[in-house]
Amino acid sequence: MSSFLNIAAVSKRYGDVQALNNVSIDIRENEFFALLGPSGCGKTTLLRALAGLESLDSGVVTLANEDLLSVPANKRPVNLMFQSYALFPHLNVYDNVAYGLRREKLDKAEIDQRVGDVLKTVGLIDQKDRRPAQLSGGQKQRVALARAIVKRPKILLLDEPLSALDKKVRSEMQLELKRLQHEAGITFIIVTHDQEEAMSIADRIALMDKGEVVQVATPVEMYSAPKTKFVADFIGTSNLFAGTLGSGTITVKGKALPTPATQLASGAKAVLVVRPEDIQLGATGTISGALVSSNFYGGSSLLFVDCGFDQLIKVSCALSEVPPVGSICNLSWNSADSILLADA
Amino acid sequence: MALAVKSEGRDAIKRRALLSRAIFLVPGLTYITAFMLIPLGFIIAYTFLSRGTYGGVEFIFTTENYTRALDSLYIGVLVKSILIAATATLLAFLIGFPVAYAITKLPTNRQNIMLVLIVLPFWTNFLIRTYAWIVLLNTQGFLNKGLINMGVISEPLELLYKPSAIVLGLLYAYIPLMILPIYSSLVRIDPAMKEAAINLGATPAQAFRQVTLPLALPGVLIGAIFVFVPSVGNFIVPELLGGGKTIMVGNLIRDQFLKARDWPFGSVMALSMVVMLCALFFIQARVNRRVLGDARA
Amino acid sequence: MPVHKQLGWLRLPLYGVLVFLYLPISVLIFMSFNKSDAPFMWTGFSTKWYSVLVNSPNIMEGFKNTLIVAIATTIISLVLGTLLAIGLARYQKSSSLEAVALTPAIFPDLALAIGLLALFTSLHLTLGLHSVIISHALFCMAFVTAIVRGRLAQIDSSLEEAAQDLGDSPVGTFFRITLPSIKPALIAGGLLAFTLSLDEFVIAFFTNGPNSPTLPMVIYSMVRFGVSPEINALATVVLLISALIVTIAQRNVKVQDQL
Repeated sequence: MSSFLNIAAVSKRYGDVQALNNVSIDIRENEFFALLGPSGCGKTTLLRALAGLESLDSGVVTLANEDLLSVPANKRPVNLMFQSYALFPHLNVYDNVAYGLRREKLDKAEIDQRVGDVLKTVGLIDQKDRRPAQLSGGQKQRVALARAIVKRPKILLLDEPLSALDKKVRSEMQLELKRLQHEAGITFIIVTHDQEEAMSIADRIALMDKGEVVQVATPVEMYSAPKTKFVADFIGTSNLFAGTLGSGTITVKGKALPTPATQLASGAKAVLVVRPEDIQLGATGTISGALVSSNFYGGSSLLFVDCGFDQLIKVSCALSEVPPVGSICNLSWNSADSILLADA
Repeated sequence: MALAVKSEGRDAIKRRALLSRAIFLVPGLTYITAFMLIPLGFIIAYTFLSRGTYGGVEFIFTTENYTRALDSLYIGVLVKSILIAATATLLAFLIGFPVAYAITKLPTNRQNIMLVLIVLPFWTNFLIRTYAWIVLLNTQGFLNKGLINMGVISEPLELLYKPSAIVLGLLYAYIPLMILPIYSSLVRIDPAMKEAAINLGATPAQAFRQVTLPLALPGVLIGAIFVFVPSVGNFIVPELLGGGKTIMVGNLIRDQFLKARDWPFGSVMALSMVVMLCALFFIQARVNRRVLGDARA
Repeated sequence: MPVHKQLGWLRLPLYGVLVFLYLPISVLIFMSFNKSDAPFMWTGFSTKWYSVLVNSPNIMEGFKNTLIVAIATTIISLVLGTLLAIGLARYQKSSSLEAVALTPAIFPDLALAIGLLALFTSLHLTLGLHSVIISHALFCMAFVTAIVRGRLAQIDSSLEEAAQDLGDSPVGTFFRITLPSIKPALIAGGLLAFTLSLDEFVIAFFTNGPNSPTLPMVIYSMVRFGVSPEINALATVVLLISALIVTIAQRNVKVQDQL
């Protein structure tokens, strides 16, 4: 599939900090794409560079085969939904949403129709005469979204759109965004530090760390086949065992743990990744230790077991099967469910 | 397939960014350079030149102005000015601090009204405010009349034309400038800090001395500078309320420039005021750093 | 507990300072309505001194000159000060430039006055209202910069980026988004610059020519001769104008936000 937005070898430096280091990403048309990573990884810098609000030191960005970086920010077919919403306080909702269309010098009738349509889509048509100060947080966000979408950009950028919302509203908005993206047929690129969020709404994710792209994959791929220790640690919850590879086993803190089939050579330093939901409690186990504590999550619990490794081992467990604190747990897992990664 | 990167487009964007930066910063900064920094340069240059026959300067280098300034007569005037200004500053602090503290204790909506009331006189005509004291303090003025009528005194008091009148005039003019910065510092102190101190066993008086006072210090110093510097350089108050009997640095400078027409010598004294201002700010910055670590007030 | 009781002994300095600040001014205003010209004795109510003011040519001349200077100063300092404030907010994260921009406001006025005099004479510039305007605009600009800067610090810096993102040109963004968002600061800054210039004496004294005295200079020459009822009337007028201006200004920008 040809790439719609091609980011090639893009770099940016701020004083001593390399914010973006040779970043290359291909984004497809009509994709819901997520830039994910811890704070300082460069995802916001990249987003703002796509919007034209930051300059890049080197690299090429093309949108539908046209050079994007030589186009000034106000002429790009790209719109940004700001984290702070950036609604114009002296204009009402209607004028806020119409602002971008008026700059395109469209005639009044068309502007009126498009603004009306998009306000109905986000459910704010009754509030069109209100000022931003009179709106709730969720309403402000929908105005910000409407204002960007009404311009029918080729790409919509969203900067941490859900971080200010509380949990329940957040999950509703996630569905809203997915629905809108499908209806509008626009490519969405969302920046977030919340991996659960990225996993649940994105078609593909680019995980970044310290200005570099670590892995680009679908959520399922990223979860089941993380490329590096960083990915395995950042995505979902997992147990990481770092040690030396033997043949068919890895030696961690003196214990030998079974490994899946691998290309890595014996004697290499490696990390074994085992997800909590793949570990079973039984009468016997590969490793065992005392239960230190458990976290209750409603549907299931997460147990923390001390088996003599550097961190406590996390095990998923149904509520009815949680053993008493302090008791000895025997843990085992199918080595085919585990992942072996080279330790950088 | 390699795409011809439109570098001209990117350069145009960079040029536009540079242009808009210039449009905003250049006019104002140029104006300040032309009409504050260059005049300051003139003053410094003049201190090394000789006086012209009809005023102005002649381009003959000399350090005589400085040696003259060290004459005991002029040093005396400088010292007296500093003393008067310092007295006014001290009084402004002793009165102003409790006032600022009181305002912080008012409900928030009342605070703004109170601040406006205190600041309002500052925005009115300085001459008029000083003149008002002549009316009040004159031997036949209202204060004396009132005291005589109440039987407190039998003869009118000579309140004007003394250094104390000058101190009063300066205090009256500049006390709002002491109150505002102190208020600003006090209001920024997190109330939780004082509560924490008390929670850890301090008495209210100790908490005040060890938490509130040090944290208010930056504001106090700024207030002191805002009162001291204009007081030292003032010539209106000594002239109107001091009757010309007490000469301060301000009067001296003004006389050198307009009567004696000895600009170089006047410049030395004017420069001394600027130096004082810089020195005080430097001290204030140092004290700030000691009290608050690296945080700036 | 009602507020005044809560303050306790602090009431004394607080109300004391207010009395201290307003007593002399009140006496002046009071005496401006005195019937006779006995300076310290109330003989009855009269507004005749106000008509004396209006009929006095040099006072009206002073008014006119001061008004010209104040209006011109306000315009210049609003434009330059606002541009500078925006420039500082957007482009300079260094505090040293901000300090330089605000220095004219606290620079000793006497030193500034003679420095400007030196500059003007060396340029062989004849002194007049224009030299006063140039000089006043310098320190008024610093006040405008401070006020507008304060307001800019409070508003979302993304607003201008949003406007650009939506397709507006830089010039359009400035007039449609930036200026409206700082409107209260512009009003307050303009009013304050106006009133500062209106009342300023020292710098005008040194940089003005002999033929066009400003009102404070007229007041100065009157005051040196002693107490007189015309001065009381003039003082009252000037005080009330300033008070009115400041009251309107502070409706736009709270004092607390400027500190």
